[in-house]
Amino acid sequence: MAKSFYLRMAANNLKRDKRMYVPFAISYIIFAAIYFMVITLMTTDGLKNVPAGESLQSLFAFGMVIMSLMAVIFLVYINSFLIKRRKKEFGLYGILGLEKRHVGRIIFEENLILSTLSLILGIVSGCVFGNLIFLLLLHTLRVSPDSRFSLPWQAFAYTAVLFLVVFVINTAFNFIQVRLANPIDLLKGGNIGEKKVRFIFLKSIAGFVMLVIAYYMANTVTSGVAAISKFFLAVLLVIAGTYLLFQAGSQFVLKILKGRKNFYYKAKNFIAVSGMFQRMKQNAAGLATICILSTMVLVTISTCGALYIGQEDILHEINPNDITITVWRPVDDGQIERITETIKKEADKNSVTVEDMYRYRSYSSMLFLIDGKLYPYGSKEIGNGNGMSNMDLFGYAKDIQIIPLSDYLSVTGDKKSLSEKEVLFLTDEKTAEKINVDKLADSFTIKDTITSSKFLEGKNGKVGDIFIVTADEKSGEALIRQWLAESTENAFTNKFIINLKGDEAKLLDFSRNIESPVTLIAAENAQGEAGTTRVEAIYSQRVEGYSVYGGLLFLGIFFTVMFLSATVLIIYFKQVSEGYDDRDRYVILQKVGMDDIEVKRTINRQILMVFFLPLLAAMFHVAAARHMIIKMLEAFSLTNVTLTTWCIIICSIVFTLIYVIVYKLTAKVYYKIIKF
Amino acid sequence: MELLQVQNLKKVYNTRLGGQQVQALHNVSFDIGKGEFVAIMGASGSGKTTLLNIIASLDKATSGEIFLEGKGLSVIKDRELSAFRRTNLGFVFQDFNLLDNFSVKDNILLPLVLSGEAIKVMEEKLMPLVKRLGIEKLLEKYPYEISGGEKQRTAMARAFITGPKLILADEPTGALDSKSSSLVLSLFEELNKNGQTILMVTHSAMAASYAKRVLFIKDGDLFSQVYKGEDSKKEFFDKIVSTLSVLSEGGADIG
Repeated sequence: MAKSFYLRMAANNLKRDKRMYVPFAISYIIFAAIYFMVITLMTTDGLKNVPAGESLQSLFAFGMVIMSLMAVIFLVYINSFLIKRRKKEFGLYGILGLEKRHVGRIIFEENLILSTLSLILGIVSGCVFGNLIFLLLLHTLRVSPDSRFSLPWQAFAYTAVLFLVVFVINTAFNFIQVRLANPIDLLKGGNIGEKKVRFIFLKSIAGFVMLVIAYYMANTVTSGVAAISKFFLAVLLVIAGTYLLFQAGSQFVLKILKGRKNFYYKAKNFIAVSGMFQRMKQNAAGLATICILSTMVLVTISTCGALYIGQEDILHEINPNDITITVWRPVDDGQIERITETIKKEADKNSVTVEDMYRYRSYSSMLFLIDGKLYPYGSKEIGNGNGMSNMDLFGYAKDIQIIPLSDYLSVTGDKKSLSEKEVLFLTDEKTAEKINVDKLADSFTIKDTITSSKFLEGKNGKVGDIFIVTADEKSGEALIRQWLAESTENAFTNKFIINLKGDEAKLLDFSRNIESPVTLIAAENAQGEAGTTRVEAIYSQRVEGYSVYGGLLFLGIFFTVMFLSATVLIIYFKQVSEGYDDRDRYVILQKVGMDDIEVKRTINRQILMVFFLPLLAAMFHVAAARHMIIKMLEAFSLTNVTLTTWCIIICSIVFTLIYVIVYKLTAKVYYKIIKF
Repeated sequence: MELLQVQNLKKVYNTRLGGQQVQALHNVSFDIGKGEFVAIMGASGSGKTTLLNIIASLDKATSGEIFLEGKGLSVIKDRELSAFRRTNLGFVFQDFNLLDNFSVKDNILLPLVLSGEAIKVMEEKLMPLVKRLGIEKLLEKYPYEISGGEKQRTAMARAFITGPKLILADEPTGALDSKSSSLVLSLFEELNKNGQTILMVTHSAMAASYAKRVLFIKDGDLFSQVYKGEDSKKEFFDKIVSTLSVLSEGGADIG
């Protein structure tokens, strides 16, 4: 009998407080369902035969780790919020004669009911939507759905374990909450929440400085590598800065406003400033959390979206020509001849047409173009003195290829001559304008700079490399030794540039089939050395790219749904608790002689300010992050700034719309509470 | 002319379910002159809070009329009611009704700010008042940092600062200990000596004994009244208590 008493009590409590617990359960279910689906995608056999399925699944594994952390943090946070609200109720139990362990028992049963139900519903909806998501994923990855969807046991096990962990933490927290307080404190529960914010000035300054540093960092990164490595630090600074500014900065500003008597003691400002003062004091952390979550949603979804949509741009950037086959030495002319023949034969065999094909010898390296000067890697000038870190340096990196004149002439059909100490520069106009040198390694003169050439115009886009044409191989080797200080033994490679036409599937087959016959020929001289050929083909990269970036997009959407449901839930809870507080205030203001309509209008205005402040701050963060996002995407070879910017803008607009709708819906609950 | 005239006031509540009618006020008439300190006493449910709410224009009478300085309250438009309340009436409540997000000073200034007074005028009015009420040291504190008696004195300052024609006090000592109660009541008495008209609703004979006149309400009707006249506070208290015992003969609980 006693057992069912606790259970009934717990069930009644949940029913009575359904305004709070139903939304909590819904977000619980969403979390469980998404988590379940991610594990499913991570472990399902269905993805094993998708191209790049391995990397796709490790991507999901990575996402799963972060998701686990998020789910735990968020569900624990919400639970603590709900339990702290109910201190008064626990106090009443204590006075009615229930011992603490009885109260603990009731909360335990509540938590048990809530968790079990939500987990079951979450897994059920995970199963239901899992198949749909799987098909959608295959569609996004552009693979035909010959893979069969299956529900792996891991999905059930992992989800159950994660939510068991959440359950244990929450139960422990609740027990501690009940145990720590005595009934009188419990009864006062609701009213002690008045914390004074200390060190307002210091905290405001600190928060402001942190934000400025983060914004500055985000907008001054020069390279993708630097952006990625600094991103984490910038995020931490923004989070800390946001919390400090919401907490202390708001108090600081409002205190100043309060100090200006002629402003403060006006009917409109008086109520508004004090109201905001109170609200910010109580809600700073919650609002800052909303702001951070919103920012995360926007950054995640616009980054993943840009990567997925910018897929072709990335492929074209990496592969200005369809296929590049690099064959390392030693190979002789006979082998080269045979490789050329083999390529043609393979093309016929796979029924694709070779539109264009040329071959040249090249030595590839990297240079840094800083202030018009070219520096080889590790040169003294860039090693120290100019205060640039290694990562900033990558922003100035340029790939170069040194090619002998004879190959240049045979590919382009130009008529040029070079003496031993002369070179030609081939590069696009933008780079040509920047370069401000006429001698290399003190002894090589740049005879001419050419900005229009077959080497620079790929089928799919411009080639970004700088080509340095030397009189012959020997002159090139001299340049490499003197200038780049690199070994020249077997330095030159043979590059085959191939552009094709044909059916997409056939082209893919060709890209995959070409490597082994070429390797076979090239390896004849290599005394068993491996890795003497490399095939880079846009067709096989496209398939892999869609897998990886499509998977990333999916993960991004999963995260967005989680972040969003977290944000919505916090907004909702804030509205409800604000509602209860405002109700009293509303009545008093009316009694003191404030107009009914005026009271409503004032409160309206404040609620709007409170809830749109985080959105506004999030927009600022995203605007500041734009440059960093663009640079990060450059590291993935996405250089389409317009596309990235549009992605950010559209995501922001859509997010704002969702935010407004959520606000409107939750505001209804708020008005229901304050109406009396 | 009398400051406040209450004429044939009647209030009927309709219960939400079943349409049953409850008569809170039957037919109440009385006058209050300028400078008077009147207490209204009655048992729980006798209708005294209803009466106060109607005088305060927070509630509307079913029939009958109230005149403040000859002006009928029922002719005031809804939109002007708040402003009317603010300028003519001052309220002191049992549960103080202070706003937690305002400091003591701002709570007191609230009605003046709402009326759009200049800050200079406000501060001129504030200082003498808070000194008289003994809360000048608390001005920068917040309501949750001060005691009940201090809260009630703050609420009094808020009621008095507009220089209202009439102060309405609803059980002002109901939530206070005896020491704070007598301090608050003697402040009421002192303010009344300076010409302030006060109408106070109370349960407590002790509180009522500070008034100059006590009205007794029973079941929605004016039952009787006693004047202090030249009596000492102790004598007046005895008078009130004996009237109450007559009043409660019907078995009414006088709390």
